[in-house]
Amino acid sequence: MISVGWTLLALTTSAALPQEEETTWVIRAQTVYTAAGDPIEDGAFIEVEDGIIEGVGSGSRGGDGALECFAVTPGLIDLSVRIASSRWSVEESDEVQLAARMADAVDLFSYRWGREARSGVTSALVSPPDNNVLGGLGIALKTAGEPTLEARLLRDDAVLRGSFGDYPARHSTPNRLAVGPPRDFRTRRPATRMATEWVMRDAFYKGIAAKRSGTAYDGAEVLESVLSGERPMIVQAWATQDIRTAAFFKAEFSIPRMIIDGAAEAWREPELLRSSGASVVLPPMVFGQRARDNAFYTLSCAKTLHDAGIPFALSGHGAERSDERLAYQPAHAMRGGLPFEAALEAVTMAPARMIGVEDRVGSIEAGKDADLVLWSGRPFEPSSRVVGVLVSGRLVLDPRPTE
Amino acid sequence: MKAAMSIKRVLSCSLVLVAVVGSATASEKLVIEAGRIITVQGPEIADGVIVIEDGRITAIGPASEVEKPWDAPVLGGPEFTAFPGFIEANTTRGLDRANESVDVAPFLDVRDSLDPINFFFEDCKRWGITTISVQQGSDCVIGGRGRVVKPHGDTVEEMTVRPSFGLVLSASPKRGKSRATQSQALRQAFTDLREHLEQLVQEKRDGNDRARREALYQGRDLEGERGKGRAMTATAWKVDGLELVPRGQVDEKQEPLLDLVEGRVAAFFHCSQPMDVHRALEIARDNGFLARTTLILEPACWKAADVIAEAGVPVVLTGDLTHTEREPLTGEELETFVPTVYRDAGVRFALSSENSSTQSLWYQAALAVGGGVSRQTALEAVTRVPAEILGLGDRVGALAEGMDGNVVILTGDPLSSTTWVDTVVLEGEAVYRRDEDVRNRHLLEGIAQPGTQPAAGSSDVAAEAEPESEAAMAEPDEASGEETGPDSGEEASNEEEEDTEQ
Amino acid sequence: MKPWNTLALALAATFLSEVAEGQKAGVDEFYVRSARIYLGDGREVEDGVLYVRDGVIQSVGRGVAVPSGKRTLQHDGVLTPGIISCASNLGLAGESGDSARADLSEGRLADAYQPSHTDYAHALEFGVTTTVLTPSISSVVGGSAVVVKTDGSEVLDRDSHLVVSFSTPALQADRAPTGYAGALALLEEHLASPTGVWAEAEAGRLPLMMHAGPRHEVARAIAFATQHGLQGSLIGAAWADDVLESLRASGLSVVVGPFRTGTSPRTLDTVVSLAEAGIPFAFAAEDSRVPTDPVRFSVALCVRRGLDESAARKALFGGAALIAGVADRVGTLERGKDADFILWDGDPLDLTSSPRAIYVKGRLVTQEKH
Repeated sequence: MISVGWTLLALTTSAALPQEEETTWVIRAQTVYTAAGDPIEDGAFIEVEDGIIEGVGSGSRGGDGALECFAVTPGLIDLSVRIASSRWSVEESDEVQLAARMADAVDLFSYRWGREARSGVTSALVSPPDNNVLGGLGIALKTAGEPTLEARLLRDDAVLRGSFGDYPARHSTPNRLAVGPPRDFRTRRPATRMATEWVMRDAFYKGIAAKRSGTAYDGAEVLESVLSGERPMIVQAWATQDIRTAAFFKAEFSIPRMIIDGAAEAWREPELLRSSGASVVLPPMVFGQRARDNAFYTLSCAKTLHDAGIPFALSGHGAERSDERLAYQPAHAMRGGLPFEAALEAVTMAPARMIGVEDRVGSIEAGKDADLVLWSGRPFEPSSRVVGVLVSGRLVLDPRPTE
Repeated sequence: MKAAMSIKRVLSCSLVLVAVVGSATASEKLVIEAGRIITVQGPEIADGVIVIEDGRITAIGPASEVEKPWDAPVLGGPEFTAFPGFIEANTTRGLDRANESVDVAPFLDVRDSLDPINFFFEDCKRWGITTISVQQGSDCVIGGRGRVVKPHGDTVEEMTVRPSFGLVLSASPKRGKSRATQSQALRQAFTDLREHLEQLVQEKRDGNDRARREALYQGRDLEGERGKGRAMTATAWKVDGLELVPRGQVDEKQEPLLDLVEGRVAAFFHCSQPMDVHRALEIARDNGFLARTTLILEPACWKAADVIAEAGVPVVLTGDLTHTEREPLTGEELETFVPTVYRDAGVRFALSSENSSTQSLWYQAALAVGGGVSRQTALEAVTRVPAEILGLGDRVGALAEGMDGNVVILTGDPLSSTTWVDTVVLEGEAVYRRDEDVRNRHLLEGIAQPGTQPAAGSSDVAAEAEPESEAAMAEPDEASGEETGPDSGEEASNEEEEDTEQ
Repeated sequence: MKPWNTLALALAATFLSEVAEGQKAGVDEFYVRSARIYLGDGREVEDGVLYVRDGVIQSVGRGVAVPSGKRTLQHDGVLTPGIISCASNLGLAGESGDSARADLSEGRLADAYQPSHTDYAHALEFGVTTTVLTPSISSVVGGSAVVVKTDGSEVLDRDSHLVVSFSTPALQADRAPTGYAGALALLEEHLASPTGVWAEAEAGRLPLMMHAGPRHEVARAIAFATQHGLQGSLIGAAWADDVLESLRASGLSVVVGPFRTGTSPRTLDTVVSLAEAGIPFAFAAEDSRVPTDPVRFSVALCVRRGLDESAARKALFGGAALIAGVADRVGTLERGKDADFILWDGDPLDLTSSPRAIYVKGRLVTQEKH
C-alpha cells in the first residue's frame, strides 16, 4: 500500500528540498484536528493516496514508512499573505483596475513560497498590493508544487481586491506644482480617504450605469460578478472609520460577499459588522498593538468577533521573522480569549469558505486535497513547532529525522 | 468611661494591626501558595508554599511540610503556578538612547540615562521579568557601564540591584565603520590605556605631579582607597610600577578599561557575524578579560558555536531564533534553529525578549522548546543562565531557600500561550497585580470609544490618553502604524530578489 | 636604369597593385590556407583552404585546389567566420528606448543606426563582424531590431525582429503600464487586432525577441509566445534552467549574456543546460562603454563552467546567424555566403588568442597591431 518511491525531477525544478513525487502516505499522530467536528484523540491516522485524503480515523495504520508526529491540522490558509508586494504586481496607471489579473503578475519562483509552505501555510490568496483603490483580481494558489499556474491553481480570479483607508492615498503625489506640467498620472490619484471612497463608488456607479444603458465598460463582468455574489470582494480597512466605510459601502451596493482585510479595530464595531454580513480577516499581532493607520489591535479582537458570530480568519502577511508567521498567530488570539476550536477554524475552514474553496481544502476529510500540517506538540502553542507539511500530498517539509 | 476608652484603645490597636497585616512591605512576611511550584533548580513541588521574610525565601516546599507564619498575608492559590522571576540578561530598553556617538566611552553610566517610568519597566512586570540588566547598545566600539535593576521603584537608586555592572564592547562595526576600522579602534583603545598607564608611572618616577593636579582640578576623589596605589593585577599584560600611582589619579576616561583589564568588570561583547566572534574572543584574551566575557549574539553567529564552546564563555541570543539564509545558486532559503546549535556545542545560552511584549522571555523559551531544546534548558535560559551571567546566581533565577523573594504567580504553565502573570512579587513585595493593571485591560479589550459603549467616567479620559504614550514608547524602528513591517519591507526585498537572478 | 632595378620596381609595382587591388571591395580573388578552420556549424577542418572571390565564399575544405599563381594567404592558426552578436546596444546610447512611452510598436532602430559610430569599429576589432541592434529592455514594445555589419558596409535586415520586454525596467512608475498585468494586457491588445508589425509577427513573418529577467518573467514570456504561436527568442533569461521543458516545447531560442566576473555560476550553468537540452542560443554583446571583448569573455566564462566547445562555437557563428535571421548571408563558411572571416593566432575560445586579421566581404578591415 505504501510505496515510498523516490523520483528526482532532473530538468524542471532545482529546489533545495528533495523533490519527491510521492503523493501516497500514511500519517500517524496522537491527535488529528480535522476542523470538521471533534478532534480524533488518543491515536489517529490519515491515509493519503495520489494527493487526496482517502480516510481519517481512530487507531493505528501503516507500517514503518508512515509519517509520525504529535498532532495534525489541515494546511493553513492565508487570505492576506502579501507575497507579491512589489510595485510591479499592481497596475498603477489607473487607480481602478477591475480586470487586472494577479495570474499575470505573480512570481511562482519566489523564495517566499517556500517560506510560507515550510511554516504551515498550504494555500494562499495573492492579491495585488493596495497602491490602487481597486487593484484587480486576486488568485488563490497552493504554496508548493511545480512552479506553474496549472500545478498550483486553487481558484483563478478568486476575488476583486480594493482598499479603503490611507494606503492608496499614500501612493499619490499631491498636485502642488509651482512650475511645469504634471509629472505623472500620480498627481491625479486620490490623496485623501474621501477621494478614495469616491473613486470606489464612482467605479461601481459607472459599471451599473453602463450595464443599464447597455454601453461597454472595462471590467463590467467583474463588477457584475461582485454584485451578484458570484465573486467576493476583499477590501483593506484597518481603522474603525474605514471599517465603517466598508460596511456602509457593502450595504449601499448590496454586495453579497465582502471580506474586510486587516480589520484591526473590528472589535469596535461588532454590531455593525454582524448586521452587515461582512467577513473579516484579522492582521498579525503587532508590538505595541498599534497597527497600520494607527488602528488599535486588541488581543481579544478575535474573541469579540467570534462571540458576535462574525465569520473571520487570521492572517500572517508573509512575515520575515519565523515566529510571526500565521502558525503563531492563533496563540495571540487565544490569549485574548478565543477558544482553540475557533482559532483552528480561523486558519482553515473560515478562510476556505470566504473564497469558495471549501470543497477542496480547509479540513481533513476524505476526498479533500491532502494539505496537512504536522506538529510536534499542541498546534499553535509557541512551544510547538511545524515539523511536517504536505501540499497536495507532496512532502514539502519532512518530519522524519535525518540520518 | 474607662471601659469606653479601653474599647476605643482596643479598636484603634486592632485597626493598626489590620493595617500592618494588610500591607506587604519588604520587612514583612509573605506567603505564596501555588498548585504547582517550578523551582527550576530542583524538582517541581505540587501544592506548595513559599515563605518570604525580609525579602528572602526562608522556606519552600509542599504545604504539608512548610510552616506558614500566622501573621503573613497569603497570595496565590491552588489554581496558580509559581515561577522564579524571569531575568533579562541584556537590554538597552529603559534608556533614552542606546548609544553615544563617541566611539570609546567607557566612562558613561546608564544610571544617568535610565528612566524609571519608561513603559518598558511596566511591561517587564506585566510579563514577569523581575531582574533586568540594562546596558548600552552595540552601536559603539566600547560603551559605558550598565546596571542590574528591578522593574520597580521611583528612582534609579530604588530600582538598582547591582550598580555599575557590565561594560559593553562591540566587534560588529559601529555605524559608519568597517570591520577593519572597528577592530583597529578596539585594539587602539587598549593600546591607549597602556600608554596612559605607562605615562602615569613614568611621570611618578620623574617626580612629575601633573596627574595629581589634574585629578584635583577635576574634583576627583583622592581620599582613602582612591589615594592609594596598587600594582596592576591583570593577567594578559601589565604595566610595572602602577603601585606608584594612586588609583584616583588614573584618568576617569581610562579607569573603567583598567578595571576591565584587571578582570573586575563583566564584559558584554556584541557580535553580529561569525567573524566578529573570533575578533571578540581575541580582544578579550589579549586583554585578560575573557573569563568575565559574555557574548551578545545575533542569529548568524551560530556558525562560530564551536569557537565559542572552546572559549567557554556564555552567550545571550538576540534576534530571530531561526536564522535564515538564501542559497545563492538555487535562491532557496535555508533555516537553522540557533539554540539547538549552541546546545549541541555545549555553549550555555540565555534568551532575550525581543522588542515586544508579545515576544517576551516566556515566549522565547517556548520557541526554544518548539525548536527542540529541552524544557529544562529552555527555562534555565531565561532564569538561571542569565542570573549567572549577572553574577546573581545565588540570589535569583530559582526558587530555593536563601534566594531573593522574586516570584511570579502565573495562571498556568509559564510556556503556555494562554497563561497570564497574575502577581509579581519582588523581594517579598507584591509590585504587580493583573487585576489592577488598567493598561493590560486595554491591551486585551481595548478602550471604549465614547458613544459606542457605556462610558466608565473619568478613567476613560485617562485611558484615551494612554495609547498615545504607548505609541511614543514604541521602538524607534516601529513607527506608530505607518509602513509597519510587511508591505514596506516587501517592496524592498522583492526588488532585491530581481537582482539575484543575474 | 639598370635591368634588375627595373625588374625590382616592376615586381614591387605588381605586388603593390595586387595589394591595392586586393583592397578594393568585390574584385579580389584569393585563397587562405589555414592550419585549422571552424566552419561555424560545429564542424572543423584541418589544413583546409578557403576560396574567396568578389567578397563571396566560393568553396572551403580540405580538398580545395589552389591553382598556382593565385594569391594565397598562409595562416598557421585558426580561421573562423566573423562573430555574430544577437543583441546589443552598440552605437545606440540613449536611442534604443523612449522614456516617455512604453509602446514603440512602429519604431525602427534602423532609423537610429549610425555606421560611423566608433562602437562598431571597436567591436569589429574584437572580431564581431555582424550584430543585431536591439531596442532597450525598458520599452514594453521596443520596435524593430536591425542587423548590421560592423564595418559599416551594409544593413543586412532593416526589420529583423519585433522586440518586446517582459521585464521590470519597462515598468516605470511614471508612465503606463506600471505593472506586469498592464504590460501583458497591452501585448494582448495588440494581438487581438494586429496591424503593422504585429500583423507581421502574428503571421509568422517577423520573429519576436523578448527581454525577460527572473524566472517568472521568462515563464510569462514563454507562455505568451506559446499561446499565440509566436516564434523568436528570449533575451536574458538568466535562470531559465527551471523552465527548460516549456522552453524546449515553445521552440524559442535564447540570447544570453553579457557575462562578467560577478555573474552567478547558476547563470552560467543555465547556458550549459541550454546546450545540453539542444535549445538554440547565442550571445549578446557587451555594452560599448566596457573596454573588453564584447562577446568572447562571456563565452569563455561559459566554457570554463562546462559549456561544450563546439556548442560554444556554434553559438558564436552559425547558431547566432540563425537566431539573427541572416543565416543566408553569414554565420558559416559555405559557398555563396559573405566572406566574413577571422584569422586567429589561437583558438577563439581561448581568451589569450586574438585576431590577426579580420575580413568582411573579402576585404581586410583590421589587422593585428604589432
